[in-house]
Amino acid sequence: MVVEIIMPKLGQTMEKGKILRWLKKEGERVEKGEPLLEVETDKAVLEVESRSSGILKRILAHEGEIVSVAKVIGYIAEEGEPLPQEAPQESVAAAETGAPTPLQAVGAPEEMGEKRLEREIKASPLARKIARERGVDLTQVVGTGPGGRITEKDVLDYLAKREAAKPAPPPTSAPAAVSIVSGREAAVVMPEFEGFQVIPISGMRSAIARKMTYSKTNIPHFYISVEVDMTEAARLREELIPIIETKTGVRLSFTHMLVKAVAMALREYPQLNALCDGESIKISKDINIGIAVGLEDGLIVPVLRKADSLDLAQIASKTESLITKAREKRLSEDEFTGGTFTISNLGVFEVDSFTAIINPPEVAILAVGRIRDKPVVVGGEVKVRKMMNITLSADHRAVDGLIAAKFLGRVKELLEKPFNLLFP
Amino acid sequence: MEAWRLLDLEIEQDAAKNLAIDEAIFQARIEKSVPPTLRFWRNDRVVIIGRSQKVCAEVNLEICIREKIQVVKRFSGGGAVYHDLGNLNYTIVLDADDRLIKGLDISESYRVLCSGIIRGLEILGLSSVRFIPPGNIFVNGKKISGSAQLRRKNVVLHHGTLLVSSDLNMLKKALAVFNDEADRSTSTRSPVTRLIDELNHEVSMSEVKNTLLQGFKEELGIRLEPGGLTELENEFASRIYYAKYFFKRETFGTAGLESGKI
Repeated sequence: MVVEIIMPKLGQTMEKGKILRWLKKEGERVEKGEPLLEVETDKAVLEVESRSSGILKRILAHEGEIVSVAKVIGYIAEEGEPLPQEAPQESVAAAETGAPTPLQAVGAPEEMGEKRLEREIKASPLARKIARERGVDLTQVVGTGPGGRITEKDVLDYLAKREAAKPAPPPTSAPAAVSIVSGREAAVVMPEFEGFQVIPISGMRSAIARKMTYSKTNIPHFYISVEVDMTEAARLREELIPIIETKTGVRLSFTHMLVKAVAMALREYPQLNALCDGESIKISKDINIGIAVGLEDGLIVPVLRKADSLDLAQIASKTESLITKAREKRLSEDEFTGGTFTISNLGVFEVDSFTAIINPPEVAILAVGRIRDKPVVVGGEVKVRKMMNITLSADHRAVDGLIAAKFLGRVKELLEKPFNLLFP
Repeated sequence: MEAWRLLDLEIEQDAAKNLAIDEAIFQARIEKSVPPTLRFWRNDRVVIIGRSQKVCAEVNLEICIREKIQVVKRFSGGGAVYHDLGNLNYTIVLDADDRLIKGLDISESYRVLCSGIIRGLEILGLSSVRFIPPGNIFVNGKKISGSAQLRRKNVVLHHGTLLVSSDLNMLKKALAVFNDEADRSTSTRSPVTRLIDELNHEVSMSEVKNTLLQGFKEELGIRLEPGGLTELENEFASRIYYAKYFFKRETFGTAGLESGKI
């Protein structure tokens, strides 16, 4: 059965509610009684629970929209059930967007006397009961009983009238949307002439902007680099590719091997597996490695939890599934939060080396460059080896150069003697 | 008499942590792991805007940057407020079916939960203290306290302010609703007053708290036992703090404001 989700009446005087957040996505299953969305009224922020079980088929009123009570804001249905056509569109058109209700509806105190308070109204107990159950504001009902007392019939008449003529809310002008970012660009004036494509900094870009600005302005970064001989690692990888591919269907990459090496080294240097806010340092018990994934319009860092407890095959398959989800923007919240250390690998793009900005509140990030054949002196002879640069950025509030150097040295050692990576 | 926990717990320099603690108590009550709670706390110099408000519409950023006033977004609805150490905040966390508010409409629950503050102000010697819906307390026609609620599952968080000796000049300068750009603001501008102005003498914060406690005991018929945060609440608080405030849009440190990047 297709069930309409309506804007519930969450208080006697509530006329409209603002959709703050849907707690389920379209297509997601929802059980009766499960939290479905959050609504803000002029009185409070409330969590609304689903009244039926099924699939959240369509969201008609989106986050930020202000919708009148009893308007349809979405549909729950079973798999494959068709939704009613067109009708919902009307509801959407009627739903106002943008214009906020006065949030603290305090008039000047003298105005308050104008409205009869619920308590002072004369009404029969039955009338009060029905009013409460059906969400009727008794101040709006005309009483026909003795002395203007409101009777059961008055409430029912009022309800019938309200059903017959649900008035459309008066249109209100929407205030200009002002982005937090653009609103504060006073320090930098952009020249105004034609020929620009203007892209507002919003959504993911604004999250990146905020986080990176915070990091670069608040965290005293320091950087150390080492060159790693990846010849042995490349050889081992060639051997492991068919084995792991048969087992998991995933082709082992250098990134997977790096994740393993970093997770193992972090176990020995937990000072780098930590969070810091400038006041305290929290060493994490779990080693949760974030892997920066570049997207067309931004960047996201899915997190591989308890990476140190996984073997290379598990790391390969879990990492690839996270990266795929990240590219398709299907990551759930716990898949991109909770990281304790980040790896950013730009080697695929032929970058030799770079320095990364720490991903706060983490205290370190590892920037990985490409692997290329280089002449290297080994045992007094010039040989061609596969070399790779890695650079660690660390938060000097939380950790000093000594630990960072030892950690990086350990990562180098693990990669240069890569059979270590095969053991837990 | 029912026993509530009394938390006198503030991290005055970090409004975000204070808000994370409020939300943690709320979550812990949802998990049924803590008793109903009354908390007192203060913030030093911060503008706190409502859940769905916009910074640029509510805050006079120039003043906030110059005066190093933090800007933080809270998880409950309502309008923008200015806090400093002369403003006392209180938080009540209880179940929606607690005997005090069971079956009451939201507006009526505000009246009940504000009654302790009203009674406290009366004990301190104020007359003509009035409750003005949805959750405000006015003295002699001027607002002295405002409150907001958040409801999730079966639990209600009710928190509010009380202007004791705040810097009202700074309050009016920092909030856009009192300024020329008031047209974009979604807050309501009310005439405001402070406890010390209404009393006509100084009063210490601890005296205010003790009197409010008396008011709550009398009006709500509860016993208050001093306590601290549980381990679970501490964990919730730090998780919320990092996830919500540390680098996300809920806080806007003045460093960011100065560099013009926020």
